[in-house]
This record gives sequence, C-alpha cells and structure tokens, in this order.
Amino acid sequence: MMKLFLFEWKKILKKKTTWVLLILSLTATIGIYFFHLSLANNVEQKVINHYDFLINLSLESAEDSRLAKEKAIKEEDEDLIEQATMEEEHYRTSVEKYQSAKKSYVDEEWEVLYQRELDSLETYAYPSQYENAVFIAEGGGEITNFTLRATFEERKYMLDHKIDPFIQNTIYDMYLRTAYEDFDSKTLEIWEEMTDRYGKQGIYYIYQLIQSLYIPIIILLGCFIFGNTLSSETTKKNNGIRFHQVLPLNQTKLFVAKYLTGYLGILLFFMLMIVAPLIVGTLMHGFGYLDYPVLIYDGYTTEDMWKNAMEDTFHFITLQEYLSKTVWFALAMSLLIYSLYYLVSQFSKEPIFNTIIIGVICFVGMQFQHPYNPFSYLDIDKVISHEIQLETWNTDITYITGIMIMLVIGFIFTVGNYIRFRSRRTN
Amino acid sequence: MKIIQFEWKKLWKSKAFIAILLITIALIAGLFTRNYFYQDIVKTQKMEMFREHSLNVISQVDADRDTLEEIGEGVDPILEENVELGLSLYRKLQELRAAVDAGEDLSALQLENEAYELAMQYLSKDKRYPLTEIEMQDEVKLNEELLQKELPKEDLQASIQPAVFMKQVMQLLFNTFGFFILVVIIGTPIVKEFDDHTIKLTYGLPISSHRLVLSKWLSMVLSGAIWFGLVLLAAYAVSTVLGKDLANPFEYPLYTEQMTFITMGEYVTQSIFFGLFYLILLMSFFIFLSFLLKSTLVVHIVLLILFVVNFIMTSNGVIHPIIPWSYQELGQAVILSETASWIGAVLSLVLTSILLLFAILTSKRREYR
Repeated sequence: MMKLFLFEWKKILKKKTTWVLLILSLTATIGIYFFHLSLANNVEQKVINHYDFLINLSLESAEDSRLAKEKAIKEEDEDLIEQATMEEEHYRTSVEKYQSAKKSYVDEEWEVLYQRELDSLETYAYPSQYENAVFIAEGGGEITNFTLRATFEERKYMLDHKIDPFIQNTIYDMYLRTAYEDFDSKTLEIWEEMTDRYGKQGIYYIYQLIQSLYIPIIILLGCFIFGNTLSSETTKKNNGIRFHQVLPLNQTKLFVAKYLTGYLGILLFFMLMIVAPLIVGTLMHGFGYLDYPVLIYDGYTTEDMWKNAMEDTFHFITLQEYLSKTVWFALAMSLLIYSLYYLVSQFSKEPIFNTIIIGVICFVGMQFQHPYNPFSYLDIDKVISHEIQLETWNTDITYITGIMIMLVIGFIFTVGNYIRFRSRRTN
Repeated sequence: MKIIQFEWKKLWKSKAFIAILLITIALIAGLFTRNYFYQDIVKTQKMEMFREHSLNVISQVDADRDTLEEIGEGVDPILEENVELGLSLYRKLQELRAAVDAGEDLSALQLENEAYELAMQYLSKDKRYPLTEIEMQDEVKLNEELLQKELPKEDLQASIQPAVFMKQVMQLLFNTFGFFILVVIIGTPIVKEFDDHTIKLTYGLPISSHRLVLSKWLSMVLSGAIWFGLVLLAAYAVSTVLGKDLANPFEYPLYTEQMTFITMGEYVTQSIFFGLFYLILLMSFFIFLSFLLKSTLVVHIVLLILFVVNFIMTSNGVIHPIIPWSYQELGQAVILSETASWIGAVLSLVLTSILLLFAILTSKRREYR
C-alpha cells in the first residue's frame, strides 16, 4: 500500500508539467497580491490628496478672509472686521485640523483617527429616543442604523486592541459594509467605492482572498493539477491502468493509493497557495493582527428589513477564530469538490473539461441556496458570518450543517468513485 | 482550404463543440422561458416597490399630521406644506400603481416621473424617501428618453423585448466565462496534437509553417464565429417570434458608463463588431500559446490564469476601449462610452498579426526526433 502510494507520488513529481503548473499558479497568486497592493496604494494616495485638497481650500479661504479684513480695516467697517476675523479664525482652525488628521494618517497613528471617528459616530449609532438618527452618506444613500452600530463597535474594539485598519477610500468614517444597505445604481457605486477595503498586511490579504471565493477556486485548480491520477492512465493513448491489473495487486489498495495521492496533492497545493501570498504580504507590509474583529450577524428578528436594521444584533469574533473555522470548512469542501471531480474524471478524460464542468456545477449549485444543498456553502465567508442567513431568510444554513453536508456528500461521491472503479475492471 | 476542412473534422468529431452549441441553444431557450414567466412577477415586484414607497411616505405624513394636531393649525406653515406635499406624492404613487396594474406602460412612465419630481421636492424638505436623489434623476432621464421613443420600460434582467433580451443573452455568454469555455473547447483538439505527437505527422507533409499556422487559426476563428453567430441568431429569433411585438425595439436606450445614452441597436452592432475582433485575437493567442508551450495542460492553465487576472483587472477598473483584451468582458467594454473606438479594433488586428507571426516563427522550431 505504502509503496503504491509512493509510486503514485513519484509519477506526479517526475512530471515536468506538475512543476510548471505549480510555479505558474504561485506566480499568479503573488502577482495578484501586487496588483491588490497597487490598488491599496492608489486608494491611500487618494485619501492623502483629498486631505491636501481640503487644506488648500481652507488656506485659500483664510487668505480671502484676511484680504477682506484688511479692506474692512481700511474702510473702518467694524461689523465687517469682526466677521472677517471670525471667518479667518475658522478657516485657520480647519487648516490645522486637516493638517493634524493628515499627519496622523501618514504616520499611521490610528488611535487619534479612531477616537475622532468614535466621537462623530456615537450619537448616530445610539441615538436617544427623540433624536433624528438619519445618517446620509455621500451620494445621498441613507446608512442604516445597523451599519452605524457595527462600525462604531468595530472601531471601539480596534481602538481598545490597538489594531491597524484596512485601507479605505474616505477621510471621514471608515464604514464597515454590512448586508443591510439596499442601494441601487450610482448610489451603490459611490457606497462601494467608499467602503471597499484593501488589506496590505499578509493575514489581512488572506482574509480578503477568502471573501472573494479564493478557496473553492484554489481547490478546483488543485483538482486540475493533481486530480487526474486515475483518468490520466485510462485514456485511449495511455492505458497504463491495464498494466496494474495484470500485477498481483489488491485493486482496492490501488484505488485508495491513487485517490489519496490526489487528495493529499490538493491539500498540499492549497497550503502552498495560502502560505505563499501570506509570506509575500508579511515581507512587504507585516503580518497583520490576528485579533482583528470579524463581524458575525446574529440573524434577523422580524420579517421587515427596515425594522431589522434597528433591532438586529451582531457580535465580533477574532480573525484567528475565523481562520481556524475556515480551515476546517476548507477541508470538508476540498473532499466534496475533489470527490466530484474524480467521479467526473472517470467518465471524461480531459482535465480542463472536467474543471469547467465542476466549475459550472458549483456555480449553478450556488444559485439555489438550501440547507441541504452542499454548494450553498461554497462562499465560506458568508456562511461563517451568517450573511447567508439574511440573504435567504433561513437560519438553518449554519456552519456545522455545512461541514456535515459536505462530508456526507463527499463520502457518497467517494464510494461512487470506488464502485465505478471496480466496475471498470470487469469490462 | 482542405486543411481547414480537416481541422474542422477533428473539431466536430470531438463532440464537445456540438455539445456546447446545443447547450447554448438550450440555455437561450431556457432563459427566454424564464423571462416569459417572469413578466407577471416583474409587474408585482414593481407594484410592491411603489407600495413600499407610498407606505413610507404616508407614515411620515401621519406623523406630521399628529404634530400638526398638537400645535394647532396655522402655527407652522412649513409643516402644513410638508403634509400637503406628502399627500400629493402619496396620491401620485397610488395613481402610478393603478397605471402599472392596468398595464398602461407609457402613462406609467409619465406618472413615475411626476412622482419622482414630487419625491425630490419632498427630500429637499428634510423628509425621507427610499430612493436617493441621484437614483431618481437617472430614472427620470431614462423615462423621458423612453417616452420620447414611445417604448415601455423593461426590466433588463427579465425581458422578452427582442433587443433587451439579446443584450441579456450577450451579457450572459460573451464574458470571461463564455469566451474561456469557447476557446478551450475549440482549441483543445489543436493543442492536443502536441501531446499525442500527431503534429509530427504533418511535418512529413509538404505544408509550410505559415500555411499550417494560418489554417489552424482560421479554422478556429470560423468555429468561434459559428458559435458567436448562433448565439445572436438564436436570441434574435426566439425573442422576435415569441417576444413582445414592438415597432422599434432596437431604439431602446441604454446608459453608458458616462451616463449618456446609446440605443440597443448601437449596443448590439458594436458588440458584434468588437466581439468578432476579440475572437480573432483570442484564437491567434491560443495558437501562439500552443506552438510555444506544446503542452495541453500548461496551455490551459496559462490561459486560465490570464483570463482570471484579466477579469480581476477589468472588474477593478483597468478597462478601456482601446485595450484589445478589455473585450473579454464584451458588454462592459462596449458600454464604456457612446462612440466605438476604432483604435481598439486596429490594435486588435495588429496584435493578432504579431501573435500569428510569432506562432509561425515558433512552429519552425520543429524538433524532428
């Protein structure tokens, strides 16, 4: 058994294409990090430019007021002198305010900025009963109370734990985008531009990758590279499997060796594809903070989203907890996708076609969200943060159910694979 | 010519191409059926939306009325004005709902505009309305354009109006995903010859490299064009025969990125034009990769990575009409601006020739062993 297993590995490692594919994938993921980094730097520059713009504007206005004052002094108009003096004073203080804010931003003194944000947010996040708590963002969108509360608590937590933020394209409040906003067209665009976050640090970047379906894609790519242990030996041109069949080998052991080799390959590939960008990110901008708060929705209270925005609750978990949950989930998911891929590969021999077929199945499966549909759980971030419960109005879609369903279906497919393998031998 | 026919034979024998053609047709038919049955849902959704709007307004009017009762009439004229305005907005929304319900599309458009005008006034009085001013202004502009052309408004994601349906189909199929599947399916029989070493058989024939490369490329372009044409034809046929019967469906206005209008007709012709140029480029790129790398798996993964990277770039704003590979997201690239970019088309052709030239050069490196 061990020998078979090692032999399978030897075949994979001896293939030049395996290494080429590995290097290409690594280059791509690292390249994407640098693209992401350039976007982040771009946004950072925009924020600084915005500060500069405001500083210049205030300076000009102050200068204008000064001139007006001088003119008024000449004309000895007491009222005008007083007014112009006040205006000048006002613009000078705003220049100072913006300059100090810009300095804090450039020097990354986040505590100062957090404190300022908290002061401005508090009344809106927790309005007293008689206050009008409507908060309008740029572009005219009405920010829900849920988002305000979540942003406030997040900022407070980050101030307490001294955590660096993600980069965001705004000089005012760095809102946390939640599932409660319901904007359209242009307003949505403005809102997204304001709340898009960019993480430069290693672990922050990984967190963002997870949010953009990186894990299922990597698993699928891993299948494409390592999942052909059986199918590559059963084509018309290369029917190496026949050779095994005339050897005194236990067929079950042969199958297990081939199946496990592929699976292990995928897991190793997965680790590599996570670790590589992590290392590059860490080298470039530090590791990041493992106790960064990740928002978890507590589900909905009523059927009315307007009311929910006021009443629904939430809590935070640390990024560390989020990542460990992700790892377990990814393991279950890899079994599901791999077993499905392997099954398809026993019928269709072209790896890219199989990858496309699985990709299409996953994509279509994701459109029909149901607790017992394993593909509903592919967007790990939404499952862990419970966002999917709000989207589907279904609290049965949970983390544990997801793992269970994926494992069970994955196991069924594995058995299916074995049956198909055994039935091939007889014909 | 014979070589092209031969390449075609290989492709058609692979079954995958026929499968993709059939699946495409099934997909279009399925989408049309869905849209057909969605018409009632769209209407109900619209009515539901306006009901929510009117509920929102009336609750504010009620609150204002209560305050008015407390302080007595004639004390706060602004408040009274607000109540009056809120009420007329509410009435307008009710009229609008009735018009939508009765299916009077054009008068509904008129009423919608009037309602939004009132709503914008209402917003300016420090009141709330579920839509923002920007959203309403855009909607008003679109409605005016539609009224001018006497076209009913369509839901862009669920319509059986021929032009709008064609746009939806094109958006669904002429994108990163669709083009990737197409090029992989058409190209695999060609790149596989390197793995199977059958390409070496052609080295024994009196065919020059440039003829070999060009005929392979041409056969790929033709196959791609067949799929491309089939999609357009199927979408057009099914929606014209079974869809809404209008005098000028292709006059339907569409917002560009710069918030100007182009008509659906312009959108479709530009898409066809640039789609074909993109296909020519894509196929030459595939041929170039095949002759350069000579391995199916490697070509596929390089292609996959490039497609994904380009997709990430385009969705992050690195998209421009003169960049030839921006047309990977065809709809998005076409809608960037009002006028088509001739430079983009010319650059596509230049790049295609360069790639083919390189493919011919690499194909001379034949490794007779």
